[in-house]
Amino acid sequence: MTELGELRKHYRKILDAGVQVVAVSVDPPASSEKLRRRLDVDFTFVCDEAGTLMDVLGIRHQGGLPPAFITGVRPGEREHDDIFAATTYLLDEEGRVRWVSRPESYRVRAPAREVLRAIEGLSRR
Amino acid sequence: MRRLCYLEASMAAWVAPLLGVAGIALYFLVSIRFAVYRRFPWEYLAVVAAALLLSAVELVRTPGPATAAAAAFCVALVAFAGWYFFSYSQYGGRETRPGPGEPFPDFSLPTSSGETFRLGAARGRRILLIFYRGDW
Repeated sequence: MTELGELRKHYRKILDAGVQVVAVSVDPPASSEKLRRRLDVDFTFVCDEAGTLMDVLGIRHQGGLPPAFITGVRPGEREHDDIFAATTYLLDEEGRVRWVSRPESYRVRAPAREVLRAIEGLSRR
Repeated sequence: MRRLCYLEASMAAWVAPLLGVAGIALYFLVSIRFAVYRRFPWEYLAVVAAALLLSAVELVRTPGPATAAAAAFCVALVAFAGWYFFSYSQYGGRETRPGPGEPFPDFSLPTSSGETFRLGAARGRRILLIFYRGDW
């Protein structure tokens, strides 16, 4: 969720560009709702608990769930340990991809600066 | 007198390994505890590399078991950092589709507030779609 916290600081600019932020994870709705409140931001949090989009998009990080002392997720609490490989897509009005960020390392997230630049690029078209 | 010199030399030998460990520890503290941003940790790797350089200088200046052990430790630390960041933490080949210009596949999933989000119904709007790893 690091990338969400980073974007939160630029939320006004993103809204002004007419962009809706949709954040997808394998977290159950209760966790996502808690995160939404904590970030206090009007992002749409979507829950793909079964990970149905992982193979459609090729963004499955098999066994990627970090240990419980980081996530607070108890062993066996979830059906699987697969999570999304951090990936950010910017879609235009026709539902076409205009920009993608696919970091090679799971320690890296899409930088807010690059996301904002991509959004500005949309407006210039 | 000689003993005192030896003690000083072995204390100086501690500096490089401590610097290296601090570099790695600081990275994890900043990226996990404070989670401000996540980038490739070049600056922290630079600290670990500086520690290795320092330990090599110490070893050349005052050769002995303490400086040799410190240098060996720093080599191991650089090897660990290299393996961890350049190999272990890599996803290993990523899908390239859908890419720019291609349509995003439609989906319909529940939201955190109990509603349903269907991407197809959001046509006419620009969407920043973020697949994130979790709420931690």
